[in-house]
Amino acid sequence: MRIKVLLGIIVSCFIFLFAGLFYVQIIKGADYKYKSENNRMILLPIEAPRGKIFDRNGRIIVDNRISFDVSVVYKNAKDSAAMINFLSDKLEVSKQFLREKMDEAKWQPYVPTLLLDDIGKDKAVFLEENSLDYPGLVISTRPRRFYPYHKYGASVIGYLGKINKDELSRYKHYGYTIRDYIGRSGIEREYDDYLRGHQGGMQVETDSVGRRKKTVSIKQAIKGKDIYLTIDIELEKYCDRLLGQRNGCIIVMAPDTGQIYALVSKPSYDPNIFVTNQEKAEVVNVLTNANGDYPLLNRAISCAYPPGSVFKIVVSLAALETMKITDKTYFNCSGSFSLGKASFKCWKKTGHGSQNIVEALTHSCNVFFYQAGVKIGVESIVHFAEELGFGKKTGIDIPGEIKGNLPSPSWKRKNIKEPWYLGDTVNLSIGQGFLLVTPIQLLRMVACVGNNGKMVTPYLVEKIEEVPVFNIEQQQLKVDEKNIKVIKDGLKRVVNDQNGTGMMAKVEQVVVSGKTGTAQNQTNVDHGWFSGFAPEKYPKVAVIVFVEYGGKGGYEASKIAQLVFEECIKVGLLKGTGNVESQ
Amino acid sequence: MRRQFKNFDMVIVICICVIFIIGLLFLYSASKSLEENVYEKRMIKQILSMLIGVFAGTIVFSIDYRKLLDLSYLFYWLMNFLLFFVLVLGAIRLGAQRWISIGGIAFQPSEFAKIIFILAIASFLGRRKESIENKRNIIKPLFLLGVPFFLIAAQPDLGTALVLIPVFFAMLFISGINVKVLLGFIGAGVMTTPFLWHFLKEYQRKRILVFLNPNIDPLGAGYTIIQSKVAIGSGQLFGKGWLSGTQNQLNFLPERHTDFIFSVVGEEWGFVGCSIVLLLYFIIIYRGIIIMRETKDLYGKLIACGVVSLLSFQIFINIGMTIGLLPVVGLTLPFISYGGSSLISSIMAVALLLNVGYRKPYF
Repeated sequence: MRIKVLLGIIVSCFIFLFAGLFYVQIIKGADYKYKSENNRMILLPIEAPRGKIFDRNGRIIVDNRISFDVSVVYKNAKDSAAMINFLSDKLEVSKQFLREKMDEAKWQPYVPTLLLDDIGKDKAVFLEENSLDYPGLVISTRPRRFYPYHKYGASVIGYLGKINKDELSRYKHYGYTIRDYIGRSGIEREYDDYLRGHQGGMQVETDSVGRRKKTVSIKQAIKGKDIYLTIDIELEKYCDRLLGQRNGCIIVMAPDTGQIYALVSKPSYDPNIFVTNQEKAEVVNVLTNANGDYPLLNRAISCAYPPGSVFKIVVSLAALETMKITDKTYFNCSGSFSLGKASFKCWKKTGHGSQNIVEALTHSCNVFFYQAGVKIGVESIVHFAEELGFGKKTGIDIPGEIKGNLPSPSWKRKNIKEPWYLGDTVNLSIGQGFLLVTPIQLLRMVACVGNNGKMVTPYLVEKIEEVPVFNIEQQQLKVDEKNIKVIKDGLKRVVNDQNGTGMMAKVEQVVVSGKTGTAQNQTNVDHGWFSGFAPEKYPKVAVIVFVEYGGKGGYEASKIAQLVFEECIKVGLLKGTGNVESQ
Repeated sequence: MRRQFKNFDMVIVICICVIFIIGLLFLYSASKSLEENVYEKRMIKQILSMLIGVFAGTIVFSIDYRKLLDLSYLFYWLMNFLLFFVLVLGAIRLGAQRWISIGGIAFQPSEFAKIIFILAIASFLGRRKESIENKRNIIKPLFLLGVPFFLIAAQPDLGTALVLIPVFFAMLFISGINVKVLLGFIGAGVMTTPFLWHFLKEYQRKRILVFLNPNIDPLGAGYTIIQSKVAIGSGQLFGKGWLSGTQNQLNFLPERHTDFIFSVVGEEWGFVGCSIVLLLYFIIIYRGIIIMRETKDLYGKLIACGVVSLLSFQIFINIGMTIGLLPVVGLTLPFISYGGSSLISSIMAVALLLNVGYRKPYF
């Protein structure tokens, strides 16, 4: 009985299909036959422009321009050989290339097949004028990414690349198509989901020779979302020029919020080259690192270096917090420090004499910190370094950030297979040895001290369309404010004292504090650091300058930092502080 | 020995052979206009899959189905593990993932899940035929349905997941459940549908909305439906002739070698050809129902019921969607659509049916 019911249901399903086929093929058959013979529908994509990117003052730093593409509708091309000759002549491409494209076009004879994209306006106009002689030739436009500031800002913005096969198969469900570009680094990559628009299209009825008869339906493309950055592009440009031919990086940040005002990594590249066909050689140059200087590497977040003397700030905090020393503790510097048979030198051969922590910071005395480091021990230094964000990512909202390396006895046992020696502690005390930090980590630490112990997460995106991105995260370190004051006193004197190592960074209108650093490396020429903030009490701007092979930090890096601070005043970031007049 | 052979249903096998050959003809027709060698690669792959299917089917056939039932729970959990693995893999690779690759051969666990599901449900319902009236006992089979259903739906492979539901209810029905209880469950199922809506991926929701109104997405699924209808309709009574369908040959039909291959049949062979294919399918189904009726053993009945309803539902949905009567859910047409996993699992399902038919006198 029940089997009969099941059979009944199945039979009715088959009858349903049978009836459906009868309706479509017999009753409506003639209509559909007519449609298939006379009216053929084709799909034409409408490209969606990507969202624009603005700087903090509303200047457009990433835009879209119109590019002109040449395509062919194969079915309409009466004399493809003549067309190939004509195009090869006018567009300066090989006939072989065009022939291959033409063969591709055969497989979809009613749909335009792309021959060459981004041919430039003049050529497009010329081809358009002659298109009557070459039926089937189609000149179409589509939006293309344009970076009006070229290489300025590239380390923040990133660049685009054509989607590859693997990505396409993974993201197909999300509406990506074979012609799409996808963010490869920086903001373009991190916020690709928002920036990317949604492709639209037209369903067009064509007659039997492929002429468009009417648009059956149209789906408008949806433009990607605009993104507003915390960057000041003029400041960015200025910093980029300051570094000039030197490799290195400059970051300018608001210490109290984490907003990044400028982030420059040199050498840089022009992201425009990745979205046009004219610069293929340059793309290869950049991608294969032909000049040996890694232009795609973001030195601000993806490279780690020894921090050198800038790290003495961390050691100072550890020493004061653990109460192993106070501002009344004096150590003598004779120019060198002996540990067993080994001797560790101060940078000043004649020594600094007897000094307390403030003076030691001012003069960046190594011997003072050797003794302080030995006294407080490696565990405490590592603990405070961790608290201040070393050995982990800062969480800045662009991809590619690395953690650097914060060594500890257990790390050394595991990775070097050696015990931790007291000599390692001595090296760590002046920011050398196994310690590696990224410029953004170092800046964040200095900003935290300047900000009286409040630590922030650096970020670049202020809002997406009209929606603010709330990423201001503040974390108050559990440290004594008195200790911070002692360190800040030292940092002020680094720049403002007669003998301060960073006096090159001194600015007239506002009190700058900071610390210089020299990072020894495998080569003979050291890297130079300067990191500081202004104004001294409640800083509004924190700056880090890193110059690869820039020699002692005291000179080059501090000089650059001074110019950066002055530019910050000019662009209005230090308005209402110190002697800066509101402009 | 001879008497046993009498129980082997040759009619089903012959019908499948004919359908498979028709499938090959149209796979060739659908791929011919693409770049050179595509059709060659596809046909070789399809024939190889058929051979593997026959091999696997022979194994399924030669083991007494009751022994398979004893192992069904082991298979069932192994299958769920595989489905879960596919999901995790998908999550790692950030995107839809239905395939597992072993030694360079990719296969779709969800296709095989259908057969194992039938075995597991048959094993459960067969053992508890008296107590199934008790409402509490229905929770367990619902659980057996739910686990693979959500694992497959999350892949996301909505079509295959949906197939499990009618198969499940048909088997419940045949097991002798109180019709009121069954209707109650179907009713409850319908009520939870809006709730399920939230689990669907955006493109799946879109497909259903497009079915209700093809004009809202004339570019994606809507385009496929419209072009498929034009293809089938323009075939009229006798079709345009093999290899002569303009919609097919001019590449107007997307996915015409897999889910939409029936549109090519419709365009090139017309109403007559479609009817022949439908008839061949119906003969298989009808022979399956006969096996079901003649088997005294409840386990055997349930397995036969599962296979019959599985094939019926797939045929119904697939052909229904090509003529625009049902939503596009991404289901293959058994023995015709291009695709190794689908072909092999269909052959194995029928092998299970033949297995029941072959051993029916002993129970």
